[in-house]
Amino acid sequence: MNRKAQEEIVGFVAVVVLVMIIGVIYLTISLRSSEPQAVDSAELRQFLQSTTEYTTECTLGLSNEPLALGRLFEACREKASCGNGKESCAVLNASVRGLIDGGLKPTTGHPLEAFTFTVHYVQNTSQGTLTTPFFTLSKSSCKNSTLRSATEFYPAKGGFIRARLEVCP
Amino acid sequence: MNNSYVLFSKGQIKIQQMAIVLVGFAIFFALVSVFFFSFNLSSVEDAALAARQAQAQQRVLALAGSPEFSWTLDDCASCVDLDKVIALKNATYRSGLWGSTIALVQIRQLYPVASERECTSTTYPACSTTTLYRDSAPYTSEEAFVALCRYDAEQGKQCVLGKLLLGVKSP
Repeated sequence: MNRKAQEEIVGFVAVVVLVMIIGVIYLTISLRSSEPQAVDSAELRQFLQSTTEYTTECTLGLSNEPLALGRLFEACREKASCGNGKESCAVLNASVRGLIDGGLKPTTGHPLEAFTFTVHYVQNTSQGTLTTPFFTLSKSSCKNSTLRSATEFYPAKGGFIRARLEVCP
Repeated sequence: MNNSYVLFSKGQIKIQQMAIVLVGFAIFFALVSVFFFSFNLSSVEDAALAARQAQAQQRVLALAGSPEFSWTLDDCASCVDLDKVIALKNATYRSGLWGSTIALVQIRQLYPVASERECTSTTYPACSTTTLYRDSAPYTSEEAFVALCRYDAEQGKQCVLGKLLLGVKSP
């Protein structure tokens, strides 16, 4: 009788331990596999709107006036070269990196650890909406479950340009 | 003294096992609930913080859109005319412009990085900060990104990234 009770207790403990291990494994997998959720940020939207007007070092054609960042997207999509010989996409890359590092400093005062900036050309065709990515700039990857994001639209020939910025909080 | 043994019947052991299992499950679900609600609560707090930030930005942007600040050469909602701001800094009538609740009105250039000094009519545009009003009272800071623009005779409109800061006096 006493031995049987001991066997019952050992069996019970084994079941409890097994259930706990399964629970821990399930929680770990479900927390890891969840994609980072993007939360719309008014601050980032304002940042994108303000950087649209930022004057870059790129001039096009015979014009002496440098392009604003908002117009440089279109130049980069067309793979145009600037008046100073630099590629418009290289100027765009340097400008966006500087603006994000210089403008979006968290409370620590250091540049952001992780961000993704993607630009798409969106065109309405007879087959539907055609979205073509043509510029991406990213730094590290976001490990947090939530991230802040904003999207801004710019006019372009035959469609529009969509720029999206995602940063870790 | 004799050793005493407590003998449980099989039924009693089963009841004890069930009780322990029930308590274990209750604790497990309580912990899961605590995690779930703490995650939900943090997202609600984030949403409230975002709403407060958006409100603060709207207040600052309303100031940026006022005739004393706004860029009017072309259509640009987020542009601040730096030439106007410098003129406003030198104006004598501005002392009563900000009302009794404002403790700080300041414009900072963020990118490209400029020389860390106050903008005056002699240092402008090679400067980073323009303080239009400062009070000694404690304040909470509200800020928004703006494009700081000025007109250059050769290259036209020149804009940099900046922030407009508004210090609202603490009640």
